[in-house]
Amino acid sequence: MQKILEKIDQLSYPTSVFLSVCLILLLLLPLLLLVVQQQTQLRSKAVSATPEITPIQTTSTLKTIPIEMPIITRLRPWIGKSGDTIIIEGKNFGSDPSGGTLTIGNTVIETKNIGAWDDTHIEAILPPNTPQGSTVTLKIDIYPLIESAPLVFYTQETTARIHKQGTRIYTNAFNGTLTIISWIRNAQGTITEQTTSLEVVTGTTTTLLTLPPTDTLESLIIKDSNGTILPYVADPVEFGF
Amino acid sequence: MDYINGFIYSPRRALGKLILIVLFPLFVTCSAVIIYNQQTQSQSSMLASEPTVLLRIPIKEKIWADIGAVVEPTVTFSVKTITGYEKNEFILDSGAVISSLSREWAEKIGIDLAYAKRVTFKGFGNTTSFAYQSTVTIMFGDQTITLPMVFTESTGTRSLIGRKGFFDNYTIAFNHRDKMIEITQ
Repeated sequence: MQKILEKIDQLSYPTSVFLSVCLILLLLLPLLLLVVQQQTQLRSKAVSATPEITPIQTTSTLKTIPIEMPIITRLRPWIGKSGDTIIIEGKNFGSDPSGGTLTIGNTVIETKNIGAWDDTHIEAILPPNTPQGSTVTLKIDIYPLIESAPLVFYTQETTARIHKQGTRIYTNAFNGTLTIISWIRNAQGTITEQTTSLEVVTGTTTTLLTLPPTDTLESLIIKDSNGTILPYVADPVEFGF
Repeated sequence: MDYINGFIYSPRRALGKLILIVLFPLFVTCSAVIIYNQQTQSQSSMLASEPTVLLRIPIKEKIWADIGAVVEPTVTFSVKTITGYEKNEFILDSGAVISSLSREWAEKIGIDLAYAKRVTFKGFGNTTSFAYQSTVTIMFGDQTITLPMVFTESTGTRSLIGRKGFFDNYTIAFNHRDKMIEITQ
């Protein structure tokens, strides 16, 4: 034993440190190999578990231009608030939003706010701060600008409400002299604009208009005596939106 | 002290060098092995720990005239209404983006649809109709959660539990051995 110690003592300190490091590496080598093996297995499992994702082409590169003039037949519904979706029905819209320009009030609707665009219907999100009574305009390629009936905008703060019972549309909100402008579609699909004046007292039920049984209301604007368009809320269930 | 070929032997120094060459590497290696074992054990215990099953519901089957018996992934959850909680049967539908209830529920829950966000959805036969988006509180097991929900146009349609807020927060397993739907955290 003393001979071994004498031999060890004869080694210089750098040599002793070098031998120590070598021994550490030698002893740690199997552990290092085990760790590397396990990490490789984990990685290979992760790779095999990753589903193969095939990119889906969401936009067409083909620009389709309608061969006939576009027509807006209906705006569904005519009432809404910022962030709500409206449907513009009609024909010859083409199938590509980049082929046309959709404007609501003063705002050109960006592609990201257009939910769908095909030849007969467009879904668009109502922009904020749109002036009351604004219309939807559509310009497709070479064709002239086409325009819808006006829209009524309301907010979470709007409390005035209109109701529908059968063919009668009534309210118990508002006060004073009102001008009622309605766009009504008859059974043949023709839209007529009607204007009437009414005296309304808050809390009293007042019939705004009565629709013929086969006709449908396309838009309804209520103006006060100063000509200001008044916002109102309509229940989607009552009106069938 | 011994003199060996002019070298002065020191037992203490020799012992120190022995410790440096043999015992120190052994100590380092043992420490590394212990640390590695501890880490491996904690990882495996994390993997092996059983998730908490929040609800177990028996799997129902529906017999179709043409197809035969098909599993119905239905669950009964309580929906918070203005008069308290009311039970309702939902279909667990991983294909639905968002949960849905028919419009008649909006009034029970106290939601005025006119003020809810209006969205569109494709219904049966690819028809587009409007739905109104809000949030609803539902209770299952001892969990009460608020789920984004759309109120769909057609009354009488079946209620769905969709991905948003549910499938992305819970694990839903169909345990066919025990014939149970298991919802785990």
